[in-house]
Amino acid sequence: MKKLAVWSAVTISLAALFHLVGVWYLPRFITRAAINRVNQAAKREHYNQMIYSPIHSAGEDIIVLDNPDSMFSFAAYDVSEKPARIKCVVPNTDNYWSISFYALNTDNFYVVNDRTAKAKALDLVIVKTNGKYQKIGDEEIVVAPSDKGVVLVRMMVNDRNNKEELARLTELQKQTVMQEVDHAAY
Amino acid sequence: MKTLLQTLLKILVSVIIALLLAFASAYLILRKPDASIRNGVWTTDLTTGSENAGLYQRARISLYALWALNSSETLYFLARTDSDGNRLNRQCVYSIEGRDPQTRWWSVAAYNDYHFIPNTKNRFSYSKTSVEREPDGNWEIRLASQKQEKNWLPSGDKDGELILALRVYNPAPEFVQNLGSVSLPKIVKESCQ
Repeated sequence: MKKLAVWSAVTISLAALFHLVGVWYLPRFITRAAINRVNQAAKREHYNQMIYSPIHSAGEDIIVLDNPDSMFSFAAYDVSEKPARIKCVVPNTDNYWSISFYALNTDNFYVVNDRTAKAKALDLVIVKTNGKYQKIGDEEIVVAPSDKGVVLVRMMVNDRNNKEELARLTELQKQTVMQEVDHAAY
Repeated sequence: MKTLLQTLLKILVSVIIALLLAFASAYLILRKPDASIRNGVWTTDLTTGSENAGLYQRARISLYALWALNSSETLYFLARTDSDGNRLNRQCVYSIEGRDPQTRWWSVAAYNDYHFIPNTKNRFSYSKTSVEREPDGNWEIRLASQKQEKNWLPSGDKDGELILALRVYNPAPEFVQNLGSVSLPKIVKESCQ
């Protein structure tokens, strides 16, 4: 009887441990899987490159609860070896626009929209938590809580079936570019 | 030798039972999105996308609202039932009635199991800029599987969980301060097949 109680206690303790580790790991696993799926859909395998996605229709919404009124530009960042720099032009539009960064655990650790942006041209550098980065200009340094994560640029659309509007927004998407930064002291 | 084998077998059984318990308990806790704020049929949570989100909330976000913006930027309300508390059903016609929320931009989108609902109109939502309003500023969106005259939001012909999402981008401070009581769209069932 005593042995059974000991085995039961061990089993329940193990179950609690597996449960906590599994729930902790789940967002990281799903984020990595989603990054892979988006990269595969765009036929890309690289980090730190923007993907200019057209507006999604049924069957193209890889991510759960996708926004059907938004055009997305997407990038998976990896700042473990080098910082990543994003330059973008905030569009002159009445509709909502934003650029946001996500950690692997789903935290939205940075967001700026067209009204909160301090300038019409943004220069952002993502660095890892302990990364050494010497500022060289007016760039804004954003410290990422995880070495890998996601960059999303959202642009709201007035009418998703208006081809002229979509063509105009597609051109605006390309005004956001991302590249790795060679930084010796990093 | 026999004792060693018996012990190893017990360990194996214990690990398998522990894994099953861990999986079952996680499934039970995470099978539905959780929300701390309810307003009529709509629910939301201010920790979505936030660094203050807990272990379970982060797991739910990854399952049901991956890469959601944090609540200081955008609020995401979900509805699974009509205003009488019955689950949304694609075989019914619903009238979603409301006024523009105090916010910069909003939309109401329909999903089947968290994905777009295929339809010939390529229509998955209505927003601040696409909804057709009445002269008094009110609007009505018709959620139905069959074509409706105005503001038709298709609910599709496939089984699955029918969900509505109300997105509120850059809400006004008075909206955020009264999340439990601000006026949000009503979802009224009109008829069923």
